[in-house]
Amino acid sequence: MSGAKPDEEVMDQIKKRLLETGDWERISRALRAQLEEAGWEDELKDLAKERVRAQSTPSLQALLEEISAQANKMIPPHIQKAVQQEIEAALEREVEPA
Amino acid sequence: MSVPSPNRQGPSHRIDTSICPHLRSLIGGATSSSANDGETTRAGGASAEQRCPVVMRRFVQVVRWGATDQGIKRRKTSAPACHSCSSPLSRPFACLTCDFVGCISLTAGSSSSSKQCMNEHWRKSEGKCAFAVDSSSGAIFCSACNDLIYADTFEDLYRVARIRVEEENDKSREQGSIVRGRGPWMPWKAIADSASRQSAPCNGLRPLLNLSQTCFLSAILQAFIHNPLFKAYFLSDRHNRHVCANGSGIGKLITGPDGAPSTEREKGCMCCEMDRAFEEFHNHDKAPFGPITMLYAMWHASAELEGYGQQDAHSFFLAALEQIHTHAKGQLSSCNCIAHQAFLGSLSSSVTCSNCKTTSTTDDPILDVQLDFPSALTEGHELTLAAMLRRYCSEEKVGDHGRGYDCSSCGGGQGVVATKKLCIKKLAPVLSFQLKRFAHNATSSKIEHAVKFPSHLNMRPFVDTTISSPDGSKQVPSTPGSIPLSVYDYDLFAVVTHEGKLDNGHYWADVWSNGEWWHCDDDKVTRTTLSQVLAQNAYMLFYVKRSLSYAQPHSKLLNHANGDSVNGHVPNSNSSTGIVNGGRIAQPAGTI
Repeated sequence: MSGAKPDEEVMDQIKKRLLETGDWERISRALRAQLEEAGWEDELKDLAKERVRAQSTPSLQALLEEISAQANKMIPPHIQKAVQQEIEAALEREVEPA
Repeated sequence: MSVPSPNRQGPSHRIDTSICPHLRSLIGGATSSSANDGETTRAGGASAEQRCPVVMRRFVQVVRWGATDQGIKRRKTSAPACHSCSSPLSRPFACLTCDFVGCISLTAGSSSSSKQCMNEHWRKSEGKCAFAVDSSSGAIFCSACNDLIYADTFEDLYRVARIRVEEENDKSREQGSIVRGRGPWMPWKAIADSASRQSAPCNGLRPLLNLSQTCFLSAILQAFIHNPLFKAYFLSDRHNRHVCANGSGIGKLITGPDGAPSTEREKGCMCCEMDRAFEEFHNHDKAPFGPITMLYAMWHASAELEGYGQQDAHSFFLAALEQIHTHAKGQLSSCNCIAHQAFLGSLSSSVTCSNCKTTSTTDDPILDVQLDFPSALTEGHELTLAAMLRRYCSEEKVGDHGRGYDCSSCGGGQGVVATKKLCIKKLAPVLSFQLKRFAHNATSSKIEHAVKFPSHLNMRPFVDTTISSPDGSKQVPSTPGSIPLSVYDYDLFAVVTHEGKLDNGHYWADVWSNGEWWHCDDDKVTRTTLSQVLAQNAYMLFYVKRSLSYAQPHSKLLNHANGDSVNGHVPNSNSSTGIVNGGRIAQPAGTI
């Protein structure tokens, strides 16, 4: 299967497995802690708050659309790399190659 | 100066704007519902919990499930799956009115690719279901509003439910007696007619007069006023300056026991000064307040802080706490004064001998954490508060020179070193950090290097969890997870910054009040943003624990009360917008 878009069913199975082993929550938590220390969470909190304040009619949809892409860009590359490695390690352990 | 007119109609006529009309009609209640919707009102009206128990029970069930930080354990096979498409859900949203759980799109209608199983469920329910609860935050998505709703009723319920989970899972607490359950606020004295209770809007914000280089006092006082524990203590009338024996006249001659006047003068009482300050900050007057009597009280009590001129804010902070403690007439070992209740923690220092491996541990009481900067600092190196704390708790070699470490167990001697390790043994409810920018060394220069600090801090990595509980009172086995992670959560509420040179500079404070950050620069108080606050070159940081636990049963707490409240007034916080500023006052001659 050429990997343009990952097969949804396979992704679901992997996600289910990682949730069951507790890896998902562990990696999630580690990611949050790193993002918090790097100030990403506070930056995003402030960005979202000030954006909403500037909106003439506050709209959740508009806010999510505006800041989702930015939030991703703001993630420091070293944290992204570290988490990717964690995920890869968990996949190595839990998932058999197709 | 115009004074905002109080809401003369009283609380029962206040309109609850936190809830949307759709959610309100689900849980029942009049259009202008009482702000205390979640409680049993004195008039006997039914609370939301009584009117709509099924919905509230469902809500609590969902938020309890999400309380992993508070100690909820996940079973291996319990990954929830969407009822519609069976996809595994990492952050489940649950329907509020039935047991459906499923994929949700918060931006339905836009061209987003996320699944809409929950949205479909609503469409198919023929009006029966229209809301979903986020298991992690307790927010409710209303499909009619297309928005997340944070209704006060549900927010209160969420807080109570989460704290209950924390209490149930916190093995360091006395078991068997969930000592004091959380419940809605109830006044000690019966208030005859709740409608007659006038609520005066106030927000604890007030500019301070600089009385000749007293910005160090202004900054620390602002940090005290916005300290939740101090606020609760002084606004509950726990120290009333009108009945305090020492509070009356600073400078007045003291009358001796035989009635004859002695040559000693009243030194004043810092607790009375705090009581006065809290009152001044919460009344209608928005003109700058000059803390003159507090300044005098400080001079009389602390010889080294006497006289005009700039003082170190940190020195003043410690001196003020010392004076509050002394004037509360507490004993150091079992003191219950507000200074110690709020700030007293303990630091554990353990030293291990490399020769005989014995470890000796000493615990010292501390009122704050003083963090050194690393000696070799390159410009551009990003320094975080967490990194400084890790450095503080990291191992250090002792006795690594000459005669070696002198061990009390084996004698030590040449070549023997010891490793010393610090960690926090008891976490105070209010954590104060001093970033030691003023190094008292040969060069005596100020360290300007910026430190990145967060608005939220979890202290677990820096606490010694192996031996005793966070409040230092009990010995518990060191099983991981015996104390929930959320017990170590702290939130930033005040930042004190210094600008300028060592002995010639300026202090200001940024404080958090009612959901907004305020920049307090002597008599200029203006609204600011989180990112501006975090960009400061902070000198002192103040964090408060997110949830507090009571050590004593409810009945004992009431016995400590300092008599009845002076009056039936319940100060009500209403955030005002914009600028709180009484205008600049001409400075007396001779000041900067």
